[in-house]
Amino acid sequence: MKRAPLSSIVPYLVLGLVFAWSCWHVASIRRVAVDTDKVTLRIGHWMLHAGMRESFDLAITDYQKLHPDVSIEQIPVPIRSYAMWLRTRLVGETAPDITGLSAVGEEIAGRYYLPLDAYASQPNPYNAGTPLEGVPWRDTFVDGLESVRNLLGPVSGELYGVNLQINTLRLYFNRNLLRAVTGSDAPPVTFAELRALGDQIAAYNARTGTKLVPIASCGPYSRYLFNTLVPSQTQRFAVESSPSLNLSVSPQDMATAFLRGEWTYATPAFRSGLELMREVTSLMPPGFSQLERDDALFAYLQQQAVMFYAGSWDYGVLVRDGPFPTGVTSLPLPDRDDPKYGRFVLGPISEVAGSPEAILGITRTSRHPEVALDFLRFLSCRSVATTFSRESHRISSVVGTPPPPDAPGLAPVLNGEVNGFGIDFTYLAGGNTNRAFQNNLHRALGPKGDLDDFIKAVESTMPENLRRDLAQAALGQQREIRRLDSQLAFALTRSDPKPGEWSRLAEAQSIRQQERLPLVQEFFP
Amino acid sequence: MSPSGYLPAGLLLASMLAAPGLAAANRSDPWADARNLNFTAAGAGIAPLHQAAPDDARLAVAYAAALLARQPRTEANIIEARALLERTAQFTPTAPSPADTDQRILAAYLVARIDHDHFENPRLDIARSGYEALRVAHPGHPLADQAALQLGYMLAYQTAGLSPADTIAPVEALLASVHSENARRELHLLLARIQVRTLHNDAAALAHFQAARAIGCQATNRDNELDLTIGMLAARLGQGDLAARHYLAFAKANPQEVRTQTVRRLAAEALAASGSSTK
Repeated sequence: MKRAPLSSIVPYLVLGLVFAWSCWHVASIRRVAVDTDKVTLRIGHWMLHAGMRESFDLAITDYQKLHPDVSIEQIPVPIRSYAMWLRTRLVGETAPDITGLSAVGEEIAGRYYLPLDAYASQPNPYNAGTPLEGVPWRDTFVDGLESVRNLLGPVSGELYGVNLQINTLRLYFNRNLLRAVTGSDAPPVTFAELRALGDQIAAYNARTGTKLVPIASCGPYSRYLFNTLVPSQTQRFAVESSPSLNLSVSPQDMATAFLRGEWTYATPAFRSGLELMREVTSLMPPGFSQLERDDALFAYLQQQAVMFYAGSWDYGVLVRDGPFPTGVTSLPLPDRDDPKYGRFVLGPISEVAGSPEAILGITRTSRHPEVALDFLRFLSCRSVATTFSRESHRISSVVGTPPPPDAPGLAPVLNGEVNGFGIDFTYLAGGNTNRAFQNNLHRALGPKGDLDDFIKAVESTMPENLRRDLAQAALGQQREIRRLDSQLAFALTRSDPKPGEWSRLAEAQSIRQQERLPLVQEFFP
Repeated sequence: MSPSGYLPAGLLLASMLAAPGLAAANRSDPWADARNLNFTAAGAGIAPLHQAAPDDARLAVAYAAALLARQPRTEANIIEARALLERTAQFTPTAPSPADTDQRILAAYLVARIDHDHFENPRLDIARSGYEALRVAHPGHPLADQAALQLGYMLAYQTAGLSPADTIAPVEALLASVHSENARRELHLLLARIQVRTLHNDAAALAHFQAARAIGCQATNRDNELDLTIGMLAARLGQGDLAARHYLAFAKANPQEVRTQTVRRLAAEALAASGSSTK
């Protein structure tokens, strides 16, 4: 009998070893889960940016020192797959005890997260010995947690999470490159100076043979930039023409005014906003709209760009990976004295609330909700917030917490006029009008850009797109109106009715009816 | 345990004792499920209770409410819910309690709401009759007032051939007939909206906005938004003192809001225009 050659056994051997290793791996995970007597908390989030995981680790270590019987594990998930991961875990009842709340609406928040209102009015015990001692937990946050409440519980009024941080958008600049180009590392302060810096960089490139780009950008970050710049042109318009008489213009207000023909892109403030967009794109690399965040970040870190307009969440990676000092400043906007754009401007813009970031909530399936609540309180106490802010290079949402020592410029500007609004319909339901805007933007931008061509192209499909988007908005409102009938019925059939609950729900329903019915009457009779 | 270990252990224990509601929130209760917008679980929890006591109006209404909202939403569920509610509304128990009567009024109100808003093709005439019948049968009941509000919406937005100017008198008549704060406030706001947006009568709109503000809202920030609206309308009408009063009320309630600095400036301008000065 012939013996099998050794080479034919190798694949089976490898397979066997892999199988044995897999068995050992699975068994070891189970052993850890079963053997421990500790309370194990898991916290799932998408905040993989530089400094965040390390800051969570520091806070976890400190908490575990205080509570040796508690073990906390981080589950960082890439942001691209986070929404799907979270939804799957929530539905499968395998979600971590605490999760980041991203792309979550009221329905999901209400169903899967514990309301925190009752605890928000109690002091945070970890603030003992600080100026926040005895202050209700809610009031230890800069905006009293109102932005989270409005985001996750606009109808119910419930609080389903707390935000550890707030975001701002900033213009980062490479101090070395700026000094090489201008002889100083002082950033531009006015929009006119920003334009002039673009010319200086072009002259520097011609002189030295370099190919420096003034502002590194990409598709999503250019939209942040446009939506910071353009509102400077609609600022006065928003105050004077607010259809709802509240100094702002909702996406629905704007869509209906366009559909009626009351506003068009030829409206002076809007056209001026488009011209501003065109002008600023001359400072960006060609084809920026096709690029992603990592491309723009790479260009800045590789010193191919002098500036980078990005979020406060990006500062950590610039500090960690940039082989040069990075400065932080607000994007210079046209001021009232600007000869071209000043007539639409009211003044510097308030960023008082920032936008909530790192919103964390406790899942209903948590086996240790009390410990999860305690850890949330710990994370949001003054001392931990200060360390967290310093290590993550981000802005804390806790009252009185200093900004990162190396970047005070990240903190929101507290004084200023109300902002205007964007004109690309980003926030209109459905997204058809915004898509048409973005798809045609190339007509307006760049050296050969033609605003009239852009306006003609966008407005030719606008009525149809706006109608589709408004129909989508009306559908969402109708869904909510119907659901509120059921909520109202449940409120009135409780054996222990809560005072004021049904009238609060009836009011919420009226708000939606007052939004939907005029829309349907005018555009979808 | 070392003495230093007692403090954190005590903190944790205290927080656990102070947070009994967190653990309780996980217990199954159909009304809690509904409050968490999980109507499928709520319906599953109520179904056996309703089957055990089919004449119990409270359980019947709750079961129908779950049918209306549970996923997937089907026409069959809506028809079943409507039929159940109609039976509940029409059933006359031998010795009805006030609570039982309230539940049957709620059932009748929900029948009209279903006809008004839940079918793909709304049955407006039937809904209108339902609301009117409820108002006749139970005048002064909060749900009859809520029916009046729904009739107001139908008049303003869902009645063919009625011009905006023609809707004012009948909606004002509805307003005069209701007592509940919610219905009064919302009818004032409905009239204000018609006046300001369609008829461009700022003075009439201002009076209705003020009346709504005087009643007050429960929704977060809505009173503050009304203060702004009243301020802007009053300024437009040259009533600087009134405008400033409401602008400053907004600023006081929202010291940390993106509009506050602008609102303070507008208040100063309104006062200056009226010859007063900011104190």
